Amino acid sequence: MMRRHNIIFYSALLALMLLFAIYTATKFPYTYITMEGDDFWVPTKDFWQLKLGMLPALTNWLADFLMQFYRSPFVAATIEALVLGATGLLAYLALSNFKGDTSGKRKKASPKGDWVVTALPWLGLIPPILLGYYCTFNLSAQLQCLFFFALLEGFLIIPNSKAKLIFSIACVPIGFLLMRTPMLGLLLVIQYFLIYITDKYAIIWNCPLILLAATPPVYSQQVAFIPFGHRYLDWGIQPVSLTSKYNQNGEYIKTMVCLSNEGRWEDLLYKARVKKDAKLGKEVSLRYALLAESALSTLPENLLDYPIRDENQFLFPHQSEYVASQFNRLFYLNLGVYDEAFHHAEEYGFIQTNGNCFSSLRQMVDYTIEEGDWEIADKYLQILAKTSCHKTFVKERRAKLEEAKKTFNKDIQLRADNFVGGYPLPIEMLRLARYYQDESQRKKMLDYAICSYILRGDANSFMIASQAFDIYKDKELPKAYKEFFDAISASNKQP
Amino acid sequence: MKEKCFYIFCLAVLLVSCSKREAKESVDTLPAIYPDYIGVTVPENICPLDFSVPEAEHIQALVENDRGETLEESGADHIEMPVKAWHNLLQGAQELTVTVSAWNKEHPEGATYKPFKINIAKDEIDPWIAYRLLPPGYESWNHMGIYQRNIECFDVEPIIENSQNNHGCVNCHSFANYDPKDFTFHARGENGGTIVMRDGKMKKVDIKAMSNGRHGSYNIWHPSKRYIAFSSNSTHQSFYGQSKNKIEVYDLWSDLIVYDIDNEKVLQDERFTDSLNLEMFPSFSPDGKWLYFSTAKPVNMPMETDKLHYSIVRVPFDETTGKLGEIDTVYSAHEQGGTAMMPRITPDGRFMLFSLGECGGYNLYHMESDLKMMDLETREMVPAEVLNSPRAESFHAWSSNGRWVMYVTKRYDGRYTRLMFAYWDGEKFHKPFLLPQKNPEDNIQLLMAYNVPEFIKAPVVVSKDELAKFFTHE
Repeated sequence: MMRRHNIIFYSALLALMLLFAIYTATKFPYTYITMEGDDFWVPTKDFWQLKLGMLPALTNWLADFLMQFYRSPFVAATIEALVLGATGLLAYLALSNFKGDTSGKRKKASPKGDWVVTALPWLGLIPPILLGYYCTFNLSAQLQCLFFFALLEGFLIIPNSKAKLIFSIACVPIGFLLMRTPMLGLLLVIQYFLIYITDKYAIIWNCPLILLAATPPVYSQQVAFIPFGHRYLDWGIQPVSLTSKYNQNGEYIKTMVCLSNEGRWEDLLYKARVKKDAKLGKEVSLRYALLAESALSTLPENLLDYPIRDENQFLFPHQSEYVASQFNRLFYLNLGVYDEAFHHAEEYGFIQTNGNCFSSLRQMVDYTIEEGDWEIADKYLQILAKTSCHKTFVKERRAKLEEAKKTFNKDIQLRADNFVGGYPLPIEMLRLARYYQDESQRKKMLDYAICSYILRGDANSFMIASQAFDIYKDKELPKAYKEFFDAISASNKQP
Repeated sequence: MKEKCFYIFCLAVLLVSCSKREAKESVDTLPAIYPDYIGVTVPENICPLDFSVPEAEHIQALVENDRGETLEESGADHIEMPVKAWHNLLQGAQELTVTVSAWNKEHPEGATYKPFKINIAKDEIDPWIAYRLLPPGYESWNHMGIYQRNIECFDVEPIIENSQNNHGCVNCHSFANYDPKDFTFHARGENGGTIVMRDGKMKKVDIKAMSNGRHGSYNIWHPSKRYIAFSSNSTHQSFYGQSKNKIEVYDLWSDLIVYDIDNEKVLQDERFTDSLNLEMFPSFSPDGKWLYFSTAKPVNMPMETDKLHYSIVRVPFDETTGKLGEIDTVYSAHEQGGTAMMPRITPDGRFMLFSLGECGGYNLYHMESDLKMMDLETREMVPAEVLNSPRAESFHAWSSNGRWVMYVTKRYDGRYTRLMFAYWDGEKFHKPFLLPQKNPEDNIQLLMAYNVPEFIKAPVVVSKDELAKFFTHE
């Protein structure tokens, strides 16, 4: 009877895991890819010390380690599905052990098939369902729940009270590194009540709870400071439903970023044009679409097809948050302004949980190689070489670095008057263009300047800029320029 | 029988792995060790100079002092020497001879390199240092803090981390007379302010409220422990689209103010708080009679960086009233060129170490900036080239006996500052050495930059909770 129930439960759990893995991997591939990019893990003392300040330290460290493998959405979804499956299994086992006998001896299933005995363990499906739906893409929260049920099951299978007490006390320091204090408190309270029912010396069972109360201040003083508000009541989990707008918008933006990183501009244009709902989507879509047009050198042709009002919609005002930071990096990368792309990549890394991230380091390696900053590229490669999933990247970039050392011919000055963000966009673009010899880079910069003047309706500046660098001299003007030029001519002819 | 064979095999493996290897070749070149400790001069009380040999699979080092005592260590990719044995070796010695053998692709059978010397100075160094660790770049950070390190060993502990002040910035720490009980730093962000600890008692001070909106930035204690001189800076950053310097940091305005701790008021001299000049990086002479600082005529920044040149001046300081006297120009940027910042006077009052760049402010962001030294008696420059590299050097501090200078350098990668120490024997500087780490690679792996290093005689003892409460409760 029990065996049949087990088989049915395991089948249901497996089906749930498969459903979760297939759905998330296909619906949110770029969210997983971005999670890997935002992650950082390196087996060094400094990194471990950093994690000690981020409770629960061990779980966060483990989550960071596992997220290194998220570059493939299917691997990522499988890891999360396995964690959810293990949580469900442990919950099932714990609930099976719950049924009345708290001394740890497994109670045999009632021969009469008592429905409580058979139905209660099925509640073990609830944690993975809730976690999968509300804590998707939050591996740390999923692992915390896994460890919660692991410690609960560990407690339940211990045969006698003394051993249970020792286990419960041991749960405090171990559990403190594995889960947030309220979750650990809940675990200890459950353990307390389970023993309270049967143990005549139940009072002694307050020990683990007292120990838990003392742990955060002691840890804070001796190991790593924990802000006062995070010591006892902070669960550290913000539930976001899998199908929420937040996740969908997140996936959309991450798709834009990833397609840009991969240079898939046509795909990006397609995605950007069909997105019409959320306001955020429109703002982001417009900018990415214009960026794609610039990358494809079609911006001067298609500018007027977009609902752009002014030059400020070409990029975001500089700020250190996900959308703006990523976009502005891509904007300057498209222009070949590697120092500014580096600036945004580094800023993006700083604002991540670990103060650095893989995507940022990889990008900075590429940009520093382009700008001839060999030592810094080498430093980042040495760090990436210590991680688990960058062997190929490091090998390729080392070869590129050696090649670049032989062929680098940029004449870079100590100082210049090409400050970024210091002038209105068209002026910045024209100033920058003077420092770049590459024709395609110059043309993109010049196009941004001319397009800005069109949007301003500034005929004089348009005329001057369109003559700059001889890029459009004696050539047929692109559509947007021609229309604006015709409009100027027409207005000049009017009496 | 099988079991026996297995144990014999295990024993053999153990013996082979523990035994000392013999290098098959001798090479007449010095080993390429990291960090470069070849020919450096170190204090007797410094922690072990652990090092690595890049690309090596196995390293052995034999360290011998001039009394013939030796220390032998080996390692896979770096050498870690025991602290106690190292100190015993250095005690009373004048020099060490280090012989390194390494096994690598070039020398798979091992090569013994030409031995090198490490000189040991009799003058001790202050055992503790305090410094800030922060991301090296631009506007953002997630983690930063002010830390203290015992340089006789490898113990590091935080004085304050920004997890204690709502992830705001923590900066501008300084100590009075190298005393960890007299300490100040600034915390920005929510409930921020200037924390002043005198005789071990802490208080939060609102410098801004006492000085018509001027907050306290770079600061220095007066030796009497009654005053702290601050520069108040409106600091901005601009980013080059393409240049070697990458970033220009500058003040739109900056002033000089003096905080009187006893009377809890800020003293302001109109000459140094008007908009006609920029003032920054104050520094008292060790006798407390002079206040040195950098000053320049403001220009349109960042466009006119080339025209911004800071000079170093000094004014007499009246300890009883806190009043400042007539200006005496020590280094004239107009006459001598460049931009001179961060004057730090030797404890005997004789020399001034400062940083000199081509133009602009904040020399740490200027690749070309170097440390320079001036004899204050003759106003002649003293050679200090050995301290410098093609990249920026700055944020220097003297040890309490005036024999050691600590400073930050960008020499290794142009971006992440690292700490260097150099011996000053009264006449010349000796080859500097990088702050030793137990695993030398920590200097590479660390994605943080050091700044504002200061010597202290003992560690700062402060309760983390007590400190955090200043930023939690108003």
